[in-house]
Amino acid sequence: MSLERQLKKLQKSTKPEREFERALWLKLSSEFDSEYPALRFTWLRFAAFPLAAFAVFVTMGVGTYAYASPYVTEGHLLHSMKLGMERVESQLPRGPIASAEFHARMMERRIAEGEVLARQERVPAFTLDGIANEMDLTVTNLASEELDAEHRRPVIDHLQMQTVRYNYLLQGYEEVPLEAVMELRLMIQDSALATNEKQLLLIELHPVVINELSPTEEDGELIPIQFEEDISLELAPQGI
Amino acid sequence: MAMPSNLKSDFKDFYDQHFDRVYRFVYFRVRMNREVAEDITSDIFMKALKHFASYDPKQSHTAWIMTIARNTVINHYRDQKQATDIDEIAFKLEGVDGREEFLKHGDVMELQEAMSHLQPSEREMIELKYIQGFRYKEIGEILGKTAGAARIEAHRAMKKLKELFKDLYDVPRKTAKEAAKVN
Repeated sequence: MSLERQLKKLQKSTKPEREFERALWLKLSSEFDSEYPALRFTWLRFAAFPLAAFAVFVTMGVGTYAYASPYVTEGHLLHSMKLGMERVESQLPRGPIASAEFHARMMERRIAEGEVLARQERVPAFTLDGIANEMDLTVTNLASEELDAEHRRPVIDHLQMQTVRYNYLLQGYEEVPLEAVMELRLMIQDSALATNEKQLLLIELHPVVINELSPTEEDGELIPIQFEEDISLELAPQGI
Repeated sequence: MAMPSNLKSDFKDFYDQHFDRVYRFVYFRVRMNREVAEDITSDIFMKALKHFASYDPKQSHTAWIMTIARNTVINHYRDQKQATDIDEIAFKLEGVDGREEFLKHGDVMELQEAMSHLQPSEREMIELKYIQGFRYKEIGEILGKTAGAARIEAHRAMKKLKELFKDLYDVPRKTAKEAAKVN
């Protein structure tokens, strides 16, 4: 059995008993009521239904905007609503390919937000982290043993395009954030993707990496890229 | 601070979000003894409840509850007058009640064996990322690192574990000790 499967199995086998979870919550709930006696807002009870209806009406429209717009970034009034909706969507049951597609889409969204912030000359450090996180989740799902190369290819193509946009985003920095680039590079290299899939993604990271990173002893572990004959890219003397 | 009328639902969300992770964190540090893990988990959430209203929402909830969890486990050993490094003891089973239950999952024993050859900090990374399923941002908050540093360390720890695993189980004649020396 593979290591990944054993880790999953360990995760499952060490799940707490749901009975215990429920029993503990009942105990905490009763303790909570004596620790924090609730305040009574009687007027609120009468207003509760119309307020709730109004809130749903407003939330639906605003929520759609918040969810879709790259202008809703950290610090924006609707940002927490956007994150909440994304969190709900991420919890929907799905297989590895749907999960990979979802996170690839989220990666695209983080990049679009980064582009907006870059235009506003705000350094989007947290956005870079969000991009790396979504890339990681996409790659992890793609590397699932259940998926064959044919299913993975469209998502790899999509990721490749996002990596190009990521490069453009990095060029907006006065100083390229090397740690962020290294993260993506290690993530791709250490993944369980096929070598040719890794190459497709690393090629797009190449222009930034090659100019800004000189290999160190630590980089000794990085895999050399074997390019196919029809791909002509100028490699730096050291290679990646 | 949240209004008292919302506080309970906030606490319920907090409980739902962290229950599994807190339990597992404890379980791996009490030699996988379910009963002890449940007692300590109850204590942890009871402590969190007492201080929930005064908790500063600008701080990370995850880092806060995991700090309470860590201190409660340390206190558990202190109460038993045992000097135990809780990171060193994580994933170890020797001489404990939980062993029998865990042995039912025989193939997971291989993983436990390989994990025991990692450094405590590497083991913690594997646990937080690949078993507990924390995000890198959360791991960074728990361990006081940047998300990027956490990501790189987790990838390296996983790579080392894969190599150990391969050495231990792909080459049957090699002993666990020899495999550990290689790495």
